[in-house]
Amino acid sequence: MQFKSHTPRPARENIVPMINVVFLLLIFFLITSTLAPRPDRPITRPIVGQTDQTHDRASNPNYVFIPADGTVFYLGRNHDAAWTSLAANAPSPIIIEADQALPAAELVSIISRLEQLGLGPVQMVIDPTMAPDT
Amino acid sequence: MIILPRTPIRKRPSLTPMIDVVFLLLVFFMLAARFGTDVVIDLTASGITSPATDYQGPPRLVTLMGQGRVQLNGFDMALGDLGDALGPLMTSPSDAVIVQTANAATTQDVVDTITALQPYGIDSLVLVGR
Repeated sequence: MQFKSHTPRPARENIVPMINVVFLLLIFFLITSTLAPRPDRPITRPIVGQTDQTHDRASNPNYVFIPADGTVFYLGRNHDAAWTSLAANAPSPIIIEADQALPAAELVSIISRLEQLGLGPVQMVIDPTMAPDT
Repeated sequence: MIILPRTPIRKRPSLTPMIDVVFLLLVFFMLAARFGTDVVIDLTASGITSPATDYQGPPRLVTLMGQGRVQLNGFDMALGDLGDALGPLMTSPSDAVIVQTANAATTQDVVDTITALQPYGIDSLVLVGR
């Protein structure tokens, strides 16, 4: 004599509500996230030719942008608002993305102003591709 | 007589859990990957943020003139010769070198100077304003 155990399989859960929730989450994060803002002016990074030196990598995605005219951009703000949020956030390290044609005197005055705010260390983004004459 | 339909015997394992796992791995590696990180150089070595130790030895004043020209203590030279010319003036590679900028000098010249002196081990450049 044989007994067949007849436990009914549990009904499969409905997949559609899960997809709904997933799409809701997707749209929520799409709307709430912001991409790192860049200044409206183009920045050409200083070029460094191929050397034996190994370079560090940027450890912080929020750069301080300085186009060739010397305006300071940080987190989508510029001028005094940028300095205010720099002093408030106090990122470390401070990563500067400056135009290669920015006058060096302006760069020095910006770095010394950062120093007066007690911020640092300061790093600069470079373009490690080949120099134009090599 | 009622004939109940038999539950069909599964021969192949279901594909869906495998796809789930694959998507999980995909999302994990998308979040964990850091691509396109930019290359940076240290400006801390510029000595601005870290107060240099007491200045030692003969004067080492480099003026960036722009266009690949520099002046060392007032003598004009090409940037490529700066490292060799600085050698006799240094007691050790960690000695401070004062760098000031002429009006024509740009950020590119600052970066060029820093990278030109790196092979000589000179990394204590003190950038000063005018």
